Amino acid sequence: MLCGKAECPLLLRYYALMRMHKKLGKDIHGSSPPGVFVGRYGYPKVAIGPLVPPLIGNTEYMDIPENWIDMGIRDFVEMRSTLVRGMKRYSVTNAHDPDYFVVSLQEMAMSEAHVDTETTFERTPRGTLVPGSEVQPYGPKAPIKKFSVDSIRVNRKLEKFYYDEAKTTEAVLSLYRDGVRVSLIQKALSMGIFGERKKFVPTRWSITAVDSLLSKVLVEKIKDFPTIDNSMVFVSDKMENTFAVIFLPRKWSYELVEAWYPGTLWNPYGSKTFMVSSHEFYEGRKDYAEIGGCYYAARLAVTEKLIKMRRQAEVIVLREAKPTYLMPLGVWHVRENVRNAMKNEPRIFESEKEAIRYAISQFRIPFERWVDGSTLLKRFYTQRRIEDYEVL
Amino acid sequence: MRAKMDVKDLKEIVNLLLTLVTEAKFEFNQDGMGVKAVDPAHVAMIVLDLPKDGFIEYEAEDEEIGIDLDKVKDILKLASSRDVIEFTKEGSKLTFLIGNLTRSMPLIDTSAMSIPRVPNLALPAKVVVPVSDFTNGIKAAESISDNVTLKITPTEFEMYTEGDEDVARVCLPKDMINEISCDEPVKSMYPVDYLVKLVKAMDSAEYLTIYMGTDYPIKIEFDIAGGKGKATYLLAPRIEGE
Repeated sequence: MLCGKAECPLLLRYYALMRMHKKLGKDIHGSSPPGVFVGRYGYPKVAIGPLVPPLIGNTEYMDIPENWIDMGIRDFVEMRSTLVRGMKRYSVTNAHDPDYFVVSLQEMAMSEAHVDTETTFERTPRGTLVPGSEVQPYGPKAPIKKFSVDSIRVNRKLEKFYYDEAKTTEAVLSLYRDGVRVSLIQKALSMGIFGERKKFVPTRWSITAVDSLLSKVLVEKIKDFPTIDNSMVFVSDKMENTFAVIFLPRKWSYELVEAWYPGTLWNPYGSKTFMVSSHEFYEGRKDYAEIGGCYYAARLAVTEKLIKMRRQAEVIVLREAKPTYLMPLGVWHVRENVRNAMKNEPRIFESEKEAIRYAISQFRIPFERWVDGSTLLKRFYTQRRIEDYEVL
Repeated sequence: MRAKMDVKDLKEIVNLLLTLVTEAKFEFNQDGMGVKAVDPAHVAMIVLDLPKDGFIEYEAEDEEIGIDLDKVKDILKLASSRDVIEFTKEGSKLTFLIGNLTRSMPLIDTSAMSIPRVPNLALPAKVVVPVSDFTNGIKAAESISDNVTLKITPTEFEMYTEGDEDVARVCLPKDMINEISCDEPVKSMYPVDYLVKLVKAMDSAEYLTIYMGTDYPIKIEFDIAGGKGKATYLLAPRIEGE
């Protein structure tokens, strides 16, 4: 390929969509996983609607990111391309005084079992080929004319908050503690299920809002735990991305460092590897992370692990995208890839330096570039600590 | 434990500690109050001592008290700097009295809070410089880089910073320095943000006594509580390259 990638992401998506188009007309009878989507353009008047495949059956897996990390990129793109996004424009505050359409979507957002739907679109849904997004990809889209749903079985835990006036943060935290999966909480948040004044939240924002809120609470908790005893490194290599996660026996600090070499998604024409990172020291950060939603998704995955260990650590997450990583898969991919790393048995090290060297040895990008691109690694190598000096 | 002191003095102590931590373990005994703190990254340490005479009234046995400093800072906002504040430990509570206002807060469990060990450093060079000159050097460095390099030679004290294109330098020759003792030149680089916070939190000091070596922590001694107490601040250096 001229652009340097192993396969053309546009063509890959194009073929998947073409296969879909053959199956599509103005009417779709299909089982929604259930999936819903809230756009962000035109805010506070946004396009909301269901995600519906032209299939009947157990489609739940199509909208459960927690189950996708072992898929290949091709299968994943194929699967998501079959989800047709219906759209109707609403003011975000309409979540509070819902009509039939909105109530249907809100109930779908609270359900974990597929929902059979009948949709009539204004025109035959068409795909757009727009890579580069934090949300999971979906297939063709079209404005909705008519939409009806079969019976919906809602999750009681979520429904409780629909009728409750608990604050959004309380609802999100309480559901998470109750074991409700993060992607379901995110979906519910986007459809305006929570809070006293209910509002739609663009899907893209709802994902990061939940990752950020939950991990922030977990960070405060782990600060009360002792630091780990030994350095450790967790590795995950899924969906054309390698993650190496370093835990150092120090107090909480966190960084996500991403390396994109020439020919990869965010660095298609460059001749040099492109490094981006965001970090926080013990005190946390106030402004939004430069590298976006991935920062919070990975922070959630690592703090979940530390909570389980009842320990704190300095955490450095290194990510290298391979040239075969063709298109952004959504922030979920970072959360689940790092969660997968946390599930794997870590390598334990006697010294911090050994751990760092091992982590970096997982990648093709040289050691110096990683250290140069990382605030916490730079601090590790240049900033001495008080205990490094003789103590009485 | 019951003590009475000037609001302004307590404010200074709390502000200095807050440059490194949000809670601290205070140690009281018959002779006075002491507190030591290390920041979470273990890069800096502060040791504060206020003897009994630094208080207006003071009575204490050997006691350790864990205090949430942000809360004390909020309480101090209710007082003016000319006020006097009294605090008493009652069970697991600390009660503050300012004029006719009383405010209680729970103490923090100190069992998990260790008292940092102070390293014994052999630092060969020493200068005594006015706070104002030091502050100038730090502020000039802050706008250029996140590091500042300090240097003591037998004839001068120098602070300098180099950015990509910008340079800042404060140079104090021997005759502008109160005291200098140095046989061999010494030089170390330090993270400037720590020093910025430190000079902002200082209130009483007019002079700083600085001890340094090469690629070694800096030790800065200065007055607190209008000269009634003493502070020691240690900051670990940055070393370029491996």
